[in-house]
Amino acid sequence: VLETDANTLVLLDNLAIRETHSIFFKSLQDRGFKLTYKLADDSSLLLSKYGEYLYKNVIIFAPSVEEFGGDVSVERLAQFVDDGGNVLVAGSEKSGDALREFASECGFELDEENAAVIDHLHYDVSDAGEHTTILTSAKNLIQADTIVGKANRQADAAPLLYRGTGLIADKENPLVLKLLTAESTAYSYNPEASVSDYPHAVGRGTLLIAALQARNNARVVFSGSLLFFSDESFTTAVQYAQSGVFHKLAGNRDVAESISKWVFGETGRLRVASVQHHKEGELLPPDQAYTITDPVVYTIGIEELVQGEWRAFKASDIQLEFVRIDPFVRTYLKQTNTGAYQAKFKIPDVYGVYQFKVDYNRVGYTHLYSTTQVSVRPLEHTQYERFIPSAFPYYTSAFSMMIGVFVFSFVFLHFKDEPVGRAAKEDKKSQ
Amino acid sequence: ARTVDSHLGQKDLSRLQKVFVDGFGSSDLQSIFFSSLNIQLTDATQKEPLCKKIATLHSESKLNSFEKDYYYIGASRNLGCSAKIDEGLLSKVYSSLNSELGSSQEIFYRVVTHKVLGVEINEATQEKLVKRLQELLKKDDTLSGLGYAFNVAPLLGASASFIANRVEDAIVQADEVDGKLLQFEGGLSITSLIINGAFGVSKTFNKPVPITADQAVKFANYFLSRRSVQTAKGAHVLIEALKTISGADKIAPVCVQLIGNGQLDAQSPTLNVAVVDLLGKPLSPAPKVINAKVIRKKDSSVLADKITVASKSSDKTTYVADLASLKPARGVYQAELSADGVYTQTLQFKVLGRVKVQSLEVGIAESDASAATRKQSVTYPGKLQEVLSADSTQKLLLKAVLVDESTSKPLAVHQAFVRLYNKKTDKEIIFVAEQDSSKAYKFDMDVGNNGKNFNYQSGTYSIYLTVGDSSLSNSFEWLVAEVQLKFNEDKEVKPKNTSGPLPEIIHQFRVPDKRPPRIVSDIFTGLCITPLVLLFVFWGKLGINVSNLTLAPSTIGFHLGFGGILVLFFVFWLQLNMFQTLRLLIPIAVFTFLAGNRLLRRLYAQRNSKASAS
Repeated sequence: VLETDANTLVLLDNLAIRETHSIFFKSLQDRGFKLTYKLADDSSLLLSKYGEYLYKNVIIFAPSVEEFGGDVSVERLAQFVDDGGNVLVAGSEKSGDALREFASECGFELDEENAAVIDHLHYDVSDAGEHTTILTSAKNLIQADTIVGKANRQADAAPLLYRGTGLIADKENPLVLKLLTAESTAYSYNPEASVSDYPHAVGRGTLLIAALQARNNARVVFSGSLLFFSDESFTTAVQYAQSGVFHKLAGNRDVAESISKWVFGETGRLRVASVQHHKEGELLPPDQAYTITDPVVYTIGIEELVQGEWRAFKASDIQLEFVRIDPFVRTYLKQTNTGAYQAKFKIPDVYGVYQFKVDYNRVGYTHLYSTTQVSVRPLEHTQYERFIPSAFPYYTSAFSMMIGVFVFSFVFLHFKDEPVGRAAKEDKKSQ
Repeated sequence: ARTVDSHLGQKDLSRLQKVFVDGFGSSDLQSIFFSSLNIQLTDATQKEPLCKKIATLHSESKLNSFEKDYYYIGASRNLGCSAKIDEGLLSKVYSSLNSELGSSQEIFYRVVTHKVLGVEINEATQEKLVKRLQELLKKDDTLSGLGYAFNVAPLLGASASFIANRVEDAIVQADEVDGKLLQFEGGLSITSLIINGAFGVSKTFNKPVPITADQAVKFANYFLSRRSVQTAKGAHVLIEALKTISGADKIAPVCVQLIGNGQLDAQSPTLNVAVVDLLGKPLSPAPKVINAKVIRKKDSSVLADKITVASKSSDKTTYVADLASLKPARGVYQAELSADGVYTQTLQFKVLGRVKVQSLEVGIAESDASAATRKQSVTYPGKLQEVLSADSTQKLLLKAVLVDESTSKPLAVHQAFVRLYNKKTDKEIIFVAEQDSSKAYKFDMDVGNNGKNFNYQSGTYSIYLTVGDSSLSNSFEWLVAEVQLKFNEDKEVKPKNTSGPLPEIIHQFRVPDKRPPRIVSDIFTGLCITPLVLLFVFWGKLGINVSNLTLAPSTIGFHLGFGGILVLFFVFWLQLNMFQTLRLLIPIAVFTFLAGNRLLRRLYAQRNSKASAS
């Protein structure tokens, strides 16, 4: 992890959670994170000091907290996210109001208190009898390698053990990602009560783990299950109670680690390293403006954070747009030998103020956005075509007039009249 | 009372054993030491590399000197290393007791190192250590300090009995979690250190047990909740702590738990109960009498006031009660067990039923109920052969009668969902079926009104009935039929693509208009040049002359300037821009103006002189 991203605050319901989730926390520490453990209602909690944040990341493993202590509150956490902080939250069927409010700030909705995800067909043999310790197969993970890891979605990957409440995300919110959903037969409801109204979440609409990547690329992950990240689920063999299918280990450990890498910015992170544009055959951009129909070369260096180092990013679907109010050109950028991306195109024959725009938004990656404003001017009159055959009459008429007036100036200025005498003689003869 | 819900089972012990095995493979001196305490290595080819490794790790370790010395010497002894321990190190260890030790932790480690080496500490030194310990505890009575003091005091003889007075001080500092766990701040190591130490002190100095039975249960619950500990030290202290609590007289909790997952089959409802100590071993002595009172949870009615849970002859830890004679109905029950009047436990179990689909009908009806419903029966687990069809003026109907397989009475289940699944789009919409007055589950969906839920996506949908309940042993999902749904086409919502490449845009440059044929412009070119040609023709006829032309500088200058201006216009047309043209035009224009002025003045003078002469 980058040095600047290492400081992490861990809020707990009680200190036992630190030990029951020791594998998860050790995995973070092994990757370089500096964890500060606090009780969620500790009166000395601080997120920032002298206007600077003390932490880059916050982990909230405190499902039943009703009100955060000290300087931390739902509003402060929302501001923390707005300022670029990352948050990982685990709730449970006993989630308190604080988590519920924070969830709604992020675009999720936690089910009511005492509601749990129930699946009568896909539950673990260790279930206590309410079918709330469910197994959901790896194919229900989101199709994004940077978030959940490529190996974790294989057809033969182990299912994931989950016990907790269900989440719902606003369908209209494009920033929300569904990291893990339940099977079609699952639903979220209070197992002690009859289903008298429509459940909060049903089937694959039941979100088990959800994520938000804000427009500023801050990341929030919400899980309705604290158990999902526990040592118990990391080390337990699982077996479907109905079908008897057995797996030596649940897939929780690898998925939890992948998700933690993503939410705290270790994976799925892109940045623009450099932007250049110039006319083809030149090295520098024009001083003032491009001219319509100029052939232009645009080069952008895009880097991805890999194992704590910035490296050239590899993709084949990055597009460049040349935009005035609407895009006039949209073309794919091709990767060059140096690892940078390049596009060549002809500037449109419409003048105005344009932007080179790269707007790369893919699931699992930070939103990469780069705009460079350039002016495009029409052809100067010296650049228009000359010697157009159809225009020869006009050339001829103009230039012939010029020649005519030049010659005429000689005649007008230097004409010599004939002598008067000769004229008189001629008159006398005729008379 | 005096019971916990779980114990360290064989699976847990196996996994903890694996932690110790992993400990041998680590590069941590402490881990290797604790692994060597728990695993007896017999393979010489494994021992020798380990012996070399611990010697290296000892010199590199950043632990306190007294701590790493203990681990090194202890591991060396446990592994039976052939190499002798360095004399210098031994000398340092032996002489350490004569120096002023800095903490109870240091005292503890030095004393136990002596013990491992089999060296007796003489009484004078013991007295001195006790005095030092008392001094240290006045300054540092943290939980850690007290814990180490408790653990070292039993090794220092009778004079260390003062420490027994501090036990209660330490115990009251335990934190309670959720009313179920007791732990000390600092976690498993500290909690275990204090518990083991406190019990050791009580035993050695003949004091009452340091905690109550209730506290013992809570501490036991804490340790059991830490069964997934991952470090060798943690695993060791966990097992030691559970052994300590389990071995305590009068207060030791026992585990009374259901065997299996507490789901009993209605056909043969046999309750199996395990009564074991915290480490899964049989109790000694075994409970003589275990009675249970069985209560149905829903309405608190008593199914049986007192039944005997009999010991199974083949297994000393298992007790069995056959509930078949009670004919329990499907549902959740609680058994209040009492063993010898000392151990009491409430266990919850469930008697499972089996669901059966007595009948299911599916059909299409007009929304305005103007025509009769066309319903068809489907038998579980079959599927309707015909593909149904419904449009926005119709509705889809489904009715299912679910009964208990054993009683044939209508059944209420927690989950009765109807799922409509579109294979092509991989989308599903789920509806809840509701029970009517006759307990049959009914579902009807007006196609027109529900278009929004489907995003008005017409197509073939599979109808699944999902029936589930936590008290059923055969919950199922059943593909009942296929239905062709037709929504109003104009309302279909195209999914917006927020991610992924957008279509490429290639700018269409304006194509120049088609130009007229060359001959047309040539003709007009000729016509335009005609005036110039005619000018010369007519001049020729008129006899134009330029006889007045002189080669005066002003004449040459004017004509050159004027010509230059015209040439500049031509070059401007070719390639110059306006600014360049103006910069060139101004000097030429000025020159031409001046030359022209002089020329005209000379001509005027010439004309005047002629006139005066005539």
